[in-house]
Amino acid sequence: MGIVFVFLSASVLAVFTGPGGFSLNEAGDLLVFRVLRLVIGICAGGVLGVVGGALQGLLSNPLVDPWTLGVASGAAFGATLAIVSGMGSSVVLPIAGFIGALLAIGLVYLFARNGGVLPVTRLVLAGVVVSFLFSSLVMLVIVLSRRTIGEAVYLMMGSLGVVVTKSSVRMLVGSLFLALVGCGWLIFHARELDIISFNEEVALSLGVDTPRLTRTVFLVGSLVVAMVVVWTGAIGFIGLIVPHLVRMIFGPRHSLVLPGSFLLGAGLLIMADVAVRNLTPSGLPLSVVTALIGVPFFIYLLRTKV
Amino acid sequence: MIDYRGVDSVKIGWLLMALVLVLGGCPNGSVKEEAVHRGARDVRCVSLVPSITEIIYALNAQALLLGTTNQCDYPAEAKMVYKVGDFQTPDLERIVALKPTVVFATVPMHARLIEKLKEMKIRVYISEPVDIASVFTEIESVGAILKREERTRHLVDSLRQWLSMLPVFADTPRVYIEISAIPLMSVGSGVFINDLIRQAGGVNIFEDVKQPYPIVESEAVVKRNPAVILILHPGASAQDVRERVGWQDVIAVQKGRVFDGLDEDLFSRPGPRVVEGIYLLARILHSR
Repeated sequence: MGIVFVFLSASVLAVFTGPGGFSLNEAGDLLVFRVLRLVIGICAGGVLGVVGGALQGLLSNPLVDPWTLGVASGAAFGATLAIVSGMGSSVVLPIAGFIGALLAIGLVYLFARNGGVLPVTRLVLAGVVVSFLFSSLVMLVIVLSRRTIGEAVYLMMGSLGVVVTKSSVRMLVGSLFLALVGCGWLIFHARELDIISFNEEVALSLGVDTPRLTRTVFLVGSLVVAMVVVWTGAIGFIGLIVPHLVRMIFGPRHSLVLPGSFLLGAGLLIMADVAVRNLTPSGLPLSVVTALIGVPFFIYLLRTKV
Repeated sequence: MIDYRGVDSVKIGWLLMALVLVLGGCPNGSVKEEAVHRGARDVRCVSLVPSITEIIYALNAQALLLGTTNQCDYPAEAKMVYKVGDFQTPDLERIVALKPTVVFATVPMHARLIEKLKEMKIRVYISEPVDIASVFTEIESVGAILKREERTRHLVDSLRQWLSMLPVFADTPRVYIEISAIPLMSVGSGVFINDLIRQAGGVNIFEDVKQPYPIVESEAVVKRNPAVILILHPGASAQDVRERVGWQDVIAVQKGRVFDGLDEDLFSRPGPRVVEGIYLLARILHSR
């Protein structure tokens, strides 16, 4: 129940606070911006939480999340290419993001594979390296197209301040809808994830098609992350910490962990955004806040769970 | 297996090394030509700042200019001058090879380069104008260095006079200057364009923000309700801005006073075209 409280209080705060003023009267016509931010934030945080939880279960690896597996950075790279070629408001944006995400996860899989197995540390190592690769490529593309470095920073480190025009609204709504559907799919397969995370061989003998499920989870996970990241940029650590926090409260069952991760991820991200918007004079990228909290937690995980 | 007996490999080695040293150390042929052509002038300058390149041409001192950056593109003849690299990353070796007596640079962009140049005992003029008054002072300083006092006085006087002919305006419209759309970025205090806007009879809505290039929220822009919007980047058109969700109540959007396709150089280069920029801004801000 604590999670629901976090989520609700975060949402309320998000609507009521901001550079435009603190009362509903003042903020009248500014509400549309706050609600937009809130919706995007809920989807982004929720998606990252759910995909993080699913990946951790699937790979029996406590250190994976969309960022440490390179998926988020790959999607950001795809988005960058779309934006600098002037197609940032068209359907090219989410498609490019999806391709980027798939490319990233494909590379990670190739680098980390050892026989038929994906060893825990090797996977995270490969993921972080691929993440770095794509972040550098984002920087390269931005510099080559003579834009400001500030744009690169936000694509790589995240922001909920998406500026939407009438023509891009449809694209945004469509992407977020797809993302939510994908999350639903992952939650629907909670039981299979439970079985696989318990023991892969047992899973096979119980009729779970492990290779196929792995591939599909990767696919759906990449799609869902891309649908969000192309709008917000790559936000790190939410997908990593949130599932663990939820497991501490609810235990390891994915039917509880995944929806819980959605809510808590959404709540935490919105909180981080509220903090960033009101405590700093000029916006900070969200990954700064999530990293400040996430890195100590990552170290804790490394020391206790690996 | 190739038989090396009988071939004096040591001598060939020395010959090859000598060739490499000669070819490698030899600077661009055209530089040598230019240096000879200029003869023994006492002032030899390299400009790493596009606005100062413009000043040099305005003072008719381009004969003293040995090198410029890739971004020094005005006037058109400046594009033909030997390039020492990008404005952001000029090449120290190329600069030094020209044997300049003075190098025009700016901070903080060229801070490290300036240190190295000072170590090599090359004179550096640091350009840092923040408003119109300092632009005029800069023109005078550059003119003094290049020994073109007469021409400088003439130029500065005519610019000051032109500026003084600017009419006094009845209103002071609030202006939102956008330099990027993803993320939304504007201009804060301490940036040159602020003074231009003031001189043209307007005020930057984010003038109170300490950061020079702050990331801003749509909410903040709409709350401050600018009367004029200037789009100074290629990422969004005036049409795009008009279609932005939630921006319909902004006065600038309602009255159609959103401007794109402007020559950003006029507003960002603190050089002789500054007054032209102010007049252009004035026309935009106060047109009906």
